[in-house]
Amino acid sequence: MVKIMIEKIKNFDKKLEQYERNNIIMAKIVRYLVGILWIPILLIPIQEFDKDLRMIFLFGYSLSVAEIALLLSYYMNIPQQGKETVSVYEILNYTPVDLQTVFYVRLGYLSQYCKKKVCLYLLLQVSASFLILKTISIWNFLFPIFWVLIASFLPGFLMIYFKKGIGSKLSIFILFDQYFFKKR
Amino acid sequence: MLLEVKHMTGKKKGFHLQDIHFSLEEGYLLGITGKNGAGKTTLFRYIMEQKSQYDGEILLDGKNIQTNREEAMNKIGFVSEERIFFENYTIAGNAELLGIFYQLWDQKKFEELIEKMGLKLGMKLGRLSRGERIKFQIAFAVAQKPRLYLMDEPTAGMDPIFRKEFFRIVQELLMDGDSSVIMTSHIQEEIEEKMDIKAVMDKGRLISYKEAYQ
Repeated sequence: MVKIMIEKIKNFDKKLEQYERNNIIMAKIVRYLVGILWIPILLIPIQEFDKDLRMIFLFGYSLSVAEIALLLSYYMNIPQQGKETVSVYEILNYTPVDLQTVFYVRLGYLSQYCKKKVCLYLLLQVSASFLILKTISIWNFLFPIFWVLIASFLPGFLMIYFKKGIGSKLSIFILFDQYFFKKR
Repeated sequence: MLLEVKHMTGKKKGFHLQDIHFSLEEGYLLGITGKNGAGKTTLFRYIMEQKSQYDGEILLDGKNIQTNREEAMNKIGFVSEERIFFENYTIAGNAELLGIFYQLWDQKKFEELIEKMGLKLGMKLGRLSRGERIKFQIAFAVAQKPRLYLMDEPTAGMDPIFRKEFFRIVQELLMDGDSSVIMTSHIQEEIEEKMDIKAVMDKGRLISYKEAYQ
């Protein structure tokens, strides 16, 4: 029974991806454009800053780049469901599908996504760290993984284990969940 | 017995249902009325939501709906303003995406009903009026081939023509004798004249439950 339900969920996501094709393409374009924001990090002469300040700068910059990417994607792509966005989990809440199974199926997409994309993030973080700090700290290494995991985990987790309304308020993370991890 | 609600009491802090106990056989239209905040919508939420917490049990065709949720949700057609669909997609799109989760989904029946109700498959859900949304949801529910329909204030704010048509549709649904309808309503006239069984809720309790002839 679980296997049949998983197949139905994957089918559903496949169809959803077709419906959201244009939005997914736009989200990708936005993310690639924002990726270019990484270039200045190589040009700013922050080698002259002291080490702690450089560390703060790098952390803040990483966070802001990711956040800008998400915000831009959000404003350009999020489906407007009345006054606020809704999560796919809320739509599926009254159907026979088990939301936990949906969450775990999408977790499966995440692991595949991470294999492809996290390497890129790590490369950027590591190269930036090395160029700016002349050292590779463990935090810079792990930061992109944490960011991606939190952004994908959080909406599904909150939706399933708390009130449904919370999922819809985390619009940025919902976008992440809905569009970012459709790849299998 | 189609539906049995056995001493159901909510576990939430604050407002919750208290000792709801009733049963319903196939082929009946049960109308539940009560003031705002009496618990009518909350009763449907307890039945439909995945994480409802309550003492007591709700049995559908003899099976507990919480432990047999997938089977239960296949058998319940839910019509409510609270129910969310893909607003940016068309009627056809919503059916294509969500119909796959229902074991007995009848796409042909859905399309026939949509046409019969004067809607078009290409209409965007977000652009439908309230009455049109109710019609869409009824068509969606019927296509599931459920055993039980839960309809939350389907006629609220609707004109008499819509209400007449609505009850005609409900009578058609009940004609085969295999399913039942539970609907909530504020309209006393509807409860008095249209329902086979009338129930009243107040402050989370079921204070009255009787057949129409009683």
